[in-house]
Amino acid sequence: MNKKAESPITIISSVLVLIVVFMVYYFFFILQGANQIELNEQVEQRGDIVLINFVKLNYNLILSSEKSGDYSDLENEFGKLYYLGDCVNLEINQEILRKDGCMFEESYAVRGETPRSTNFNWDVLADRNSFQIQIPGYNNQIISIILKIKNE
Amino acid sequence: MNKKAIATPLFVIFIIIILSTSIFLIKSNEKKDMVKFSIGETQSEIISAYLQSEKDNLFYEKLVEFNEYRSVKEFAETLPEIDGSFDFRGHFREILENNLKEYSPSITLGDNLMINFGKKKYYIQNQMLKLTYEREFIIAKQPIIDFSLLEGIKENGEYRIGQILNEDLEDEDIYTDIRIKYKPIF
Repeated sequence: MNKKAESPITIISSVLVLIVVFMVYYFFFILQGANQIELNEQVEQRGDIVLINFVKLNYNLILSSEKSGDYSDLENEFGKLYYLGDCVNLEINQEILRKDGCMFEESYAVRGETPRSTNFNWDVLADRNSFQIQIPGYNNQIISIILKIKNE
Repeated sequence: MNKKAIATPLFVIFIIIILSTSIFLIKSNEKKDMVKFSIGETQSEIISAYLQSEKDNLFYEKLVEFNEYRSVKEFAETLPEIDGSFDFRGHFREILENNLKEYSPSITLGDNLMINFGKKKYYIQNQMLKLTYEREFIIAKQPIIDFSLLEGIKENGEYRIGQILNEDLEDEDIYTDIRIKYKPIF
């Protein structure tokens, strides 16, 4: 084959290779596959299920504590929920029960702070979940219960 | 004119157009697919809606339970002098219905003491899903009072109606005085 005939064939074949590469990319990676898949490590319903069960099991104790204002027995029961996270709070009609005295601080913006800086507040990186349930009292009054979980 | 001299540039231009179009399509599709797709997100939201309905169901169950306790006490205190045709079940049903309607007038109570709180809708909406989950709340409870036993009472006296939880959430036995109207035979 002479050199004059070789040049167009080279162009055509290289272009065809490019087309094949693009088509393979297009069909296999774009049309048939998802680009970004995230795995949810945290199952959010866990808090809901725990809260429902906790309320069912300790219903009368919640009502009597709310009526008397003495939450010590309920706090003991609540302490058993140690597996939920590093910091767990239970709020019953604005009375807050804390596991190990942990304070549940509200989330706020990082405001330009970086983890490298010495005054960086690691609390901002914690995941926070909140689960709420409302229950009726003996005389149809409504009691609101909020479970807050913070995981560092 | 040489045919190759025309065909080759035309072919190159044609290929460039095809490649540009392909790049454009790939890029535009990439944007579409780059939307975050999280495994289990849809299922998670459906379960979340279901659990919300479970919370409501617990609320209604407890509402019925406490109103039943109050109604049993009221039933024992308000029982009139009765005759053979007195409807114990109807009397209790009326008291329970009044107590429940204090919470919500839309609650209906069937003859078989099935309490219907109506239907409630839960909306699940995200980028990939728009779903409505509807659940009807009907609470059926075995009444504390044994009405068949009451129907069999033929003498005046104090009778045990049942056991309830009182306002201090302690067990309390409820008794009532039953006075029976005697019709003269002659």
